[in-house]
Amino acid sequence: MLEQEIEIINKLGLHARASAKLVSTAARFISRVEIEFASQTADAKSIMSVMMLAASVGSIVTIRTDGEDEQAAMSAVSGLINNYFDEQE
Amino acid sequence: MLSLFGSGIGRGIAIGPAYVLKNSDIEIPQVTLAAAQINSEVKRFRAAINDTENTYKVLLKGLAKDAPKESAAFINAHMLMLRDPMIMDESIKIIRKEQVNAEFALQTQADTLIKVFEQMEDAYLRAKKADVQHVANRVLRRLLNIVSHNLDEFNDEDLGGRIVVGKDLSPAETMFIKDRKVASFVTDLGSQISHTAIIARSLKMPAVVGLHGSTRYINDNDMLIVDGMRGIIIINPSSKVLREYKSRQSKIRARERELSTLIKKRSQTADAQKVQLLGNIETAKDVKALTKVNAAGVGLYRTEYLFMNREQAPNESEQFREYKRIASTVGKPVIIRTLDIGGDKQLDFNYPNKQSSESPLGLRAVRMCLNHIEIFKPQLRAILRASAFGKVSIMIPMVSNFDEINQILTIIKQTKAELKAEGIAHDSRIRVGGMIEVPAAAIMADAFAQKLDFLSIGTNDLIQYTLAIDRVDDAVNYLYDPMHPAVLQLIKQVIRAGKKADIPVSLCGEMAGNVQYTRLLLGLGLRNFSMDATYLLDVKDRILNADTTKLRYLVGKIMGSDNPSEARDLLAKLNQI
Repeated sequence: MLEQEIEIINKLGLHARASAKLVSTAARFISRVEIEFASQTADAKSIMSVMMLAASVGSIVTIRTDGEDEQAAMSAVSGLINNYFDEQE
Repeated sequence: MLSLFGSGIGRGIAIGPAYVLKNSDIEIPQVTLAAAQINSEVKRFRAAINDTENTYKVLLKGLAKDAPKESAAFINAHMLMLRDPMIMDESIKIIRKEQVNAEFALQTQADTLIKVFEQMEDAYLRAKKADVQHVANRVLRRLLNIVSHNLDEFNDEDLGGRIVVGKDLSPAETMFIKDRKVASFVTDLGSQISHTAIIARSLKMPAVVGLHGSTRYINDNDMLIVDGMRGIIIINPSSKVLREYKSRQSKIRARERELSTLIKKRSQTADAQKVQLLGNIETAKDVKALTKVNAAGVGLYRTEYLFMNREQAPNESEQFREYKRIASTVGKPVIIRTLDIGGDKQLDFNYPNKQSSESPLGLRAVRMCLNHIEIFKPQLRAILRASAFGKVSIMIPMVSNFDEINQILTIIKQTKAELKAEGIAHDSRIRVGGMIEVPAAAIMADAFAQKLDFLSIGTNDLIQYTLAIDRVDDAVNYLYDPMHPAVLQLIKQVIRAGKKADIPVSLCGEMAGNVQYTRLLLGLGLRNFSMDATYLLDVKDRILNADTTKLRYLVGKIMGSDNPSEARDLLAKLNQI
């Protein structure tokens, strides 16, 4: 299992569109992908559960990946967050 | 056959089947199931989810190429929500555990989710509860076989050639009318000067508004004739009437062909006075129609449509791309009006004091922009950046006092300095004009003309404010009168102020595109008309045939007349010279 702390830096936080991108990215991997924020854990493959974390800009979340492709899953998810969800800001 | 009367828009005639808007309420039944029914209920629920997903897929495929990126993103997000274990699996669990019907289970789960969203601190995420309900409603409608007729981006019905019937249309809904090839629309509310009407005109679409509740006589798929010129709609016409209207339709088309011979002609009066005929546009899509009639440029680009129907304001780079695209495709001068929010033109996203802009006297247009510099500044930067790619001017709506103008000019100056420091190209001598829409501005036109590079008279609002009539209030609509002597005096005053200061004055309200007023305005000295492309050739026809030296006497008499009905008689005479 891999674990990494990461800051949400895009302006709107984990809003609908960003959550959708995160979920689509996580769904590409076999590994279980979880996001923890404010002592709540969300299944990163469920858009509702990701949105309900209500992680806004500046939030520090913990990403956990567990499974045979956990390394690739971690770098894809953290890359997306660090890249502002490929949005402009 | 039944005829209804309202206010007509456009000179055309539309014939087609009715599409009656209804936003049906969903009532959710609660049924307790026998154990043997559970499996088939789960199956029914899964089937509804599958059907709904297919609808989304069809919608996604059918999106216009130039649809905003957000549309696809939202449909994708909704599809993910639909399949989300927290919606699908949890609902199935409820069906099994509580032995209830699928509708009830789904709404129970949706309510649980909505409650969580309601407690969120972030306003944006709090608003997401609407998405949950939206997705649930789609599935519920499937389960209950409810047909909902509405006009939104998620509508999957074929509206081509149909006539939309509704109580009223929001400007957002009229945007969808544009994209869905609707033939015409009729509404209970609205007047010839409401925003819906203005958009209908720009779509070259005949319509009838202000039917005062009589649309309840229209049923779905009734055959309708909409006569925009006379403000009549005919429900299920007899074959004789239908024939008559079809022949009138072809006559109107013949007149259009006749007008098209004027496109290449030089735009000047019979006594060789040059007149500029400019176009009003709302989006890049409107440019084509302007080019077709050979307009001299864009006299009014209403940027608010770039901001409407979306969850956040477009950022600077998105605006820049759009303005640049328009400036370069037009290839002639383009006057970009800064964000003009107010009345029935509202934004979807929230900002402080938003409600105030609903009042005609509230925090709207430039007032809103100066109070929300975070919205205004990116727009100014984007316009300035676009000015490096075409002849672009800035126009400020609804200026009402000197300080406001000074403030705007200072902000523009600062913005230019910032761009210069960043090494970003822009026209450092960009022209800045003001819209004269408030009587105070018209009265002060001499002073304003000293500060600004051009003036543009927005008659729709100028009439509203001069005569104290709320444009969107149907009940006082009868008082709206462009021929009111006070209105004409103010128009004259502004034209004179421009002449004295040697700066251009244009008129960009509905009056500019109404051929009834073309000669009067020419007589008052107006030489720049900005209107929707639809009217341009009609107005040009009037201009080519007008001799300004012969207009003076009657125009003088109109201006000297102190009552509107006398003025109107004189206007009729003027138009017969």
